[in-house]
Amino acid sequence: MGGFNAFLVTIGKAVGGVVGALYQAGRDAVDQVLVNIIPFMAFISLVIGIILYTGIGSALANALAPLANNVVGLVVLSIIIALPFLSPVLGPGAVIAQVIGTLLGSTLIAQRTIPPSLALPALFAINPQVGCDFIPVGLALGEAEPETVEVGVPAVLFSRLITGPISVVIAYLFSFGLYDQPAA
Amino acid sequence: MNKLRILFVLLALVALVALPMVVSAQDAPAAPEIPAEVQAAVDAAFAARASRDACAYVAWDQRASDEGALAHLAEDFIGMFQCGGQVLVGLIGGIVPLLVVLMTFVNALIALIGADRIDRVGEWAARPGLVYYPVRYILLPILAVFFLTNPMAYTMGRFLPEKYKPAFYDSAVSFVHPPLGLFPHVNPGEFFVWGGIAAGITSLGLGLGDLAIRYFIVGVIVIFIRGIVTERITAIMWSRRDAK
Repeated sequence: MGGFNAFLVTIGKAVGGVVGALYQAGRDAVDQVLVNIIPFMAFISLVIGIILYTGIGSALANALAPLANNVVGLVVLSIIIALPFLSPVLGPGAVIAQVIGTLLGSTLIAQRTIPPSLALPALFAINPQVGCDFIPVGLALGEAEPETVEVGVPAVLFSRLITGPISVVIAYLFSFGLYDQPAA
Repeated sequence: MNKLRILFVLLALVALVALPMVVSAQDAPAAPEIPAEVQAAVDAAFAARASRDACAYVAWDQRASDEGALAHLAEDFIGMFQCGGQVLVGLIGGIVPLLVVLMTFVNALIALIGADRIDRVGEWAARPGLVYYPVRYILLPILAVFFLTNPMAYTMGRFLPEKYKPAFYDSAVSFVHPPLGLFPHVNPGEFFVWGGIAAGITSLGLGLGDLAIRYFIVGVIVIFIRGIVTERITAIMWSRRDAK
């Protein structure tokens, strides 16, 4: 009888643990969506609403089009964004990358001015500055010595100048055959 | 003036209480017959409103209302926000349900597996030698970002020697966006780095699966290259610094 009871308790604990984890997971997911995602969606919607309705979007997009609708332009864009004095400024919260990405997506890609296959290199071209604003904090999270931070910050910034354009080229090579279909 | 307002509120309250009593006292009335042509007109109006693109700009001389410049300006002002609202409804109706369910799944998975298990990978990645490059700049960043997410992923750097830390940070931080198409839980606050461009692809009627998986794969290659390049640059700068 004692053994059976212990069995029941084990089962109960295991099931309770799994259900508890699932419930907590759902709570975390809803929390993240409410706290992080929907506020940003509201901001993005406001920006899109204003730029699309007023026509600023088309003007901006047309200005960006020569850079964004071919792979050479995207490489140039990535080099500009990766410049060591610009990249830490453009980094915070990835706001710039998100706004540029949304601008490209909702105007140039939606109009096919940028072919859909170039979406892949574009994803890397708008983002060579990722985390450049966060290097000291990120290194501190990894319990780095102050000396490492001193060397690491410029090392990462200069590395981006090389790997930023490389990432666009690799993405371009991988975009062959993406959305390969007769032009609509 | 105040007495009038109080009287008005009282009347409203009485009406609010009395109306249901009056209505329920009567026999339930049959649903009023709506003439078919009226119904059709209403339906058409609703359909036109629903199908109208709030983001499409209508020139002043082509608008229904003919009030004048001020009214048109008012329409323009509110039009921007109607357009934004339409975008927001599209996002919330389209992406949010998927995000909630997917993030629930991944969060549960992480909780059941236990994020502390990847500590051992961290210790493994600290070893010198060519063989451990892929562990340090592919496996460790991917696992760290997947299980610990942005920004806690960078804490995995504590297992590595100082000379590898900048390269690992570079590698890990570059991987907080490429998985967004498949695993949005890694960085929900920066979802639109992926989501903005993905929305353009969706509006063309194309699927996102192909783009999402390629973004992930290229991301893996790029973080590997970034890790190696940054490790080299760090080593060069360190030796220069020591020489001084």
